[in-house]
Amino acid sequence: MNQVLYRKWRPQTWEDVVGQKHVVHTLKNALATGRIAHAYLFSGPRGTGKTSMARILAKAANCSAEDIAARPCNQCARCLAVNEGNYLDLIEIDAASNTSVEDVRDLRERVPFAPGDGRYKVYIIDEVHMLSTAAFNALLKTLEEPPAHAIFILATTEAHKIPATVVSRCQRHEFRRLGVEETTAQLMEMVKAEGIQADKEALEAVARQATGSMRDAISLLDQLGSMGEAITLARTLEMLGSTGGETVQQLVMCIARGDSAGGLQIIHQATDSGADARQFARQVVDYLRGVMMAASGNTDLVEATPEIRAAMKDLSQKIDPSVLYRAIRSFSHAAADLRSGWRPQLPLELALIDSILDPGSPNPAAGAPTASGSSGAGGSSRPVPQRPAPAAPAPKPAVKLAEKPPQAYAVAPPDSGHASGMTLARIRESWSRVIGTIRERDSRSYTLFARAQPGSYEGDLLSVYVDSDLVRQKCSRPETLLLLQGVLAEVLGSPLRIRFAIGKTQSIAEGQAKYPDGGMVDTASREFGAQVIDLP
Amino acid sequence: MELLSEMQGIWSPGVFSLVPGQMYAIFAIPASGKKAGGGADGKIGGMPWDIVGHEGAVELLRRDISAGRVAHAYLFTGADGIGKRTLALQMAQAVNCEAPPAPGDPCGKCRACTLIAAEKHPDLFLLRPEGSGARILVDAAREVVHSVMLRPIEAARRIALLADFHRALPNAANALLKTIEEPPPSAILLLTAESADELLPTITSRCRVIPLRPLPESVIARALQERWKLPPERAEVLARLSGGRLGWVIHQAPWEEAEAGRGELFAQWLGILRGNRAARFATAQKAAEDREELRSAMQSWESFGHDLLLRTLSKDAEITNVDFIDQITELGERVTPGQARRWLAALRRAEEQIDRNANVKLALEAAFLDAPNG
Ligand SMILES: Nc1ncnc2c1ncn2[C@@H]1O[C@H](COP(=O)(O)OP(=O)(O)O)[C@@H](O)[C@H]1O
Ligand SMILES: [Mg+2]
Ligand SMILES: [Zn+2]
Ligand SMILES: [Zn+2]
Repeated sequence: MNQVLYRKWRPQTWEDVVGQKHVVHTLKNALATGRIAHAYLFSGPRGTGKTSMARILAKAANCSAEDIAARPCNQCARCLAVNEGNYLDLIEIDAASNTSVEDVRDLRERVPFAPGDGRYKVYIIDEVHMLSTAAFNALLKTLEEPPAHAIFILATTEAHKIPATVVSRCQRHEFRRLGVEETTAQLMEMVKAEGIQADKEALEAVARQATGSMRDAISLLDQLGSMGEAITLARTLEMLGSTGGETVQQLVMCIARGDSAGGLQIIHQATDSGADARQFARQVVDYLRGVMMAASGNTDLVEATPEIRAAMKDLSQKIDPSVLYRAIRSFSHAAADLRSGWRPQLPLELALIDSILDPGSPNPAAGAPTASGSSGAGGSSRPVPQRPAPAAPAPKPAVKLAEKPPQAYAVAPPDSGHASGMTLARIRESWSRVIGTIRERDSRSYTLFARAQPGSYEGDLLSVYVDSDLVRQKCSRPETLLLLQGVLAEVLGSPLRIRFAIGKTQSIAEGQAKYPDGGMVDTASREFGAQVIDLP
Repeated sequence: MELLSEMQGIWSPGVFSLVPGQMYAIFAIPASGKKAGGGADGKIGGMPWDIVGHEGAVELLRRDISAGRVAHAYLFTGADGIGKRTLALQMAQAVNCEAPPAPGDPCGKCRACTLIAAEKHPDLFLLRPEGSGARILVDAAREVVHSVMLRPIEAARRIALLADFHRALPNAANALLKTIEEPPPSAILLLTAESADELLPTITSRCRVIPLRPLPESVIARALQERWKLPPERAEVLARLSGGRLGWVIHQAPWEEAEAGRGELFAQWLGILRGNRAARFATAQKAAEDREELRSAMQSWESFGHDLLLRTLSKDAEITNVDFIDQITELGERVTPGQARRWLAALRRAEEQIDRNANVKLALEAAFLDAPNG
C-alpha cells in the first residue's frame, strides 16, 4: 500500500537524515567506540527527525553487519524487522497515550529481562513530555540504575516539561529547525524521485511555510502533488491561502490614504478568491513592519525584493507614524483572532477600519513612541534616530497625499486602554511571546535577547535587564532596539520606550520550568493549547 | 413546517440532526434522489458525490482513492456548517463502497454506503464533542487509539471520524499524536476543525489538510432553489446571510419561523438603539434567559451592527442583511462611524465574555450601554 510521502521518506540511515549533523556525528562516534549511553533525550521542534533518528540508533545498536561503520545496514534480519515495525528488542512506547504511573511500572517490570535476540533492548519513549509527575518519578528510578543491556531514548517536542532530574540522567541532543535551503534541497530530491513536476520557487515557498519542520514541508508537498498537476509558485501560494504581494501592498496603500471603502473591497476580493483571513493579516503585518523599518532608515534589514523595499521606503515617508502603529497593532490583533465566527474576514475588516479611523484619543501614548534606548548606564554606543512626534490629538490626514480626510472617530478601538493599564506584570506575562516572535523574525537578535528579562517599568520606560555590558551595547543598536520595540508594540498593543541595563536575567527555558502546575501559564498551555514558546 | 417535512423526505435518516452545537451534516442527498445536470454543484465526471460545491476537494479525494494513494490521516478545515463532516462521511463511503460506479466514487446504495450515511457502520468510529462548548477529553482520545487498532469487521478500512477536533484538550490531542502519525494500514483517520490554526501544530503536521472554502452565494442560492425548492427571493436572502455555509442555512429551517425570528431580532436591536437605559437593561434581562438562543441572536445583532458600520463609511457599501436594507441605510445617516464601531466592538466583547462564562446579563448590559442613540 502506498504511504504518504513523509512516512515513505522516513530516514533509514544516518546519511538520509537532513541536517542535525551534530547529533549524527556524536551518535556515530559513540557506536564506533562502543560507548553507547544508556539514556538519551532527543528534543526539538516537530518533524525534525527525533523519532526517525531514535529508530536509526536502535537499529544500529543491534545491527548484525560486521563493519560497525556500516550500521545500520538495513539488510540484516534485525534491521529489516525494525523497519517492519516488529523487532522484539525494540519497544516503542507512546507516552502521550500511556501517561500514568501504572504504564511506567509495567515498563519497569520488563526492563530487567535481557534482550531476546540482539545486543541491546532499546526503549523509545516517544512524546515523553506527557507523562504524569508520578510516572516521571517511576521512570527516574529505572534511569538511575539501568541494566547494561538497556538503551532508553526519550523523544519530545517540549523539553521544558521534562523534570530536571530526568534530564540530568540523559545524554541530551537538541534537534534544530531545518533551514529553507536544506529543506528545499530535500524536496527537490523527492520530487525528482517521485516523478512530480515542481518549480524551485514553489518548493522554496513550501520550505519557508514549514518553518523548519521537514514533516510539515513534506505534508505540504504531498498535498500539492496529489492534484497531479505541475507544482507552480502560483498554485502553491493559492494552496497556502497566501495573497499576492500586490494585494497586500494595495491594502496598505488604502490604509495610508485613509480609504476604507477601497480597502474593504480589496479584502473582499482577496477572501472571495480563497485568501485565508489570518494569513492575509500576517502578511499585512509583515509589510507594515517593513515600512516601519524603512521609516527608521533600516531598509536594508528588510527581507524583500529591491522593488518592494523601494515601495516600503516611499510609503514610510508618507504614512503618519501613528497610523502605522495603529495598523500594525490592529492587524496583529486580527492575525491572532482565533474566533472564525459568522464572518471569517470580519477581523480583517475591523483592523482596516481601526487603522484608518483616528481614535482621537487625548492620550498620546497610543501614538508613536520615541526610541530612547541609549540611556542605559554607561551611555550609548550610537545615536538613535528620532522618530516623528506622536500624533496630535486632533484628527489629521493619515498621509500627506490624502485625497479626503478620514472621518473623526471619537472612540477607542476594542480592547484598548492598554497603554494606561500597562504594568510590569503584563509585560512579563507576554515576554516569552515577544521573544518567540523575535526568534521567528531574526534569529541573530534572538540570541541576544534569549536571556533578557523585563526588569522595571516606570513612567512609560521599560528597563530590560541583560547579562553583560557587551550584550547591552549590542542590544542598544538602533535596528535591534527597533525590532524589540516593534514586536512589543504588536504583542502588547501599545508602544513602549525601552532601555537596556545590566541586571538579573533568566533564560526562557529556565523561566518556563518554573511556571507552577496549575498556574496561569500552565493552565493556558494545558487547557487552551497556548504555547509559551516553541523551544528548539 | 411544511418545508421541514418536505426536507425530511430527502435527508438521509440519521445524518439529520438539529442538536445545537453539532455539525450540520445534513445536506447530503441519497444517491437515489433526483439529480440535476452536472457541473457546479459537486457532480464530477457524471458520478456524484452528494455534496454541494467543494469540487476541488472532491476531485482531490477521488484521485487519492482511484490512484490507491489514500492518506492515513486527513484534516478537513472550514467554518461551522461549511460541509466538513458531510465530505468526511462521503469519503468514508467512497473508500469502503462495495460497488463503486467509477473509481473513487461511492454508489450510495450498498450496505457499506447506507450504513456509513446512517452513522451505523461497525467500522466507523465517530467522535464528536456533544453540545456547544463541549471538549474532547483524554479518555475519548484513548478510546480512539484503541478503536483504530482493531481489525476492520467488514469494511476494507476502519474509519475514525474525529469531528470538531479543535475542541480537543491538549492532552487529548497529544494522546493521538502517534496514532495519527502511524495508524495500522487498515485504518484511516478523518479529522475536522474550524481552522488548522486552532489545532496543535504537531497534529496538523501529520495530516493531509483539505481546506474547505465558503461556497459562492450563487451556488448556495441555486442549491436552495433546486434541491430544497425554495422560492428565489428567499433563497437569495438566505444565501447572502449564510456566509457561504450551506449547513448554516439548513440549520435555520423551518425558514418561515426563522424569518419571523429575524424580524424580531432586528426589532430588538433597533429597540436597543432607540430605548433608554431602563429599556436596554430590560432587553438584556430578557435576552440572558436562553443561552442557546442568545448565541444566534448575538450573531445577528453583530451582523446588523456590521452592516450599520459599513453604511456609515459608505452609502453604497454592500451589506449582508439585505432584507433590512432601508432601515439600516437610514440609521447610517444618523450614526457616526465611530459610534457604529464602538457598538459593534461592544457586542463582540460581550460575546467573547459570554463564551468565557462571564455573567451573561452583566455582559449584555455593559454592551447595550455602548449602543448609539438611533
Ligand atoms: N532531519 C530530517 N531529515 C530527513 N527527513 C526528515 C527529517 N526530519 C523529519 N523528516 C521527515 O519528517 C518525518 C517525521 O520525522 P520524525 O523523525 O518523526 O520527526 P519528529 O519525531 O522530530 O517529530 C520523517 O518521516 C521524514 O519524512
Ligand atoms: Mg516524533
Ligand atoms: Zn543491519
Ligand atoms: Zn456503495
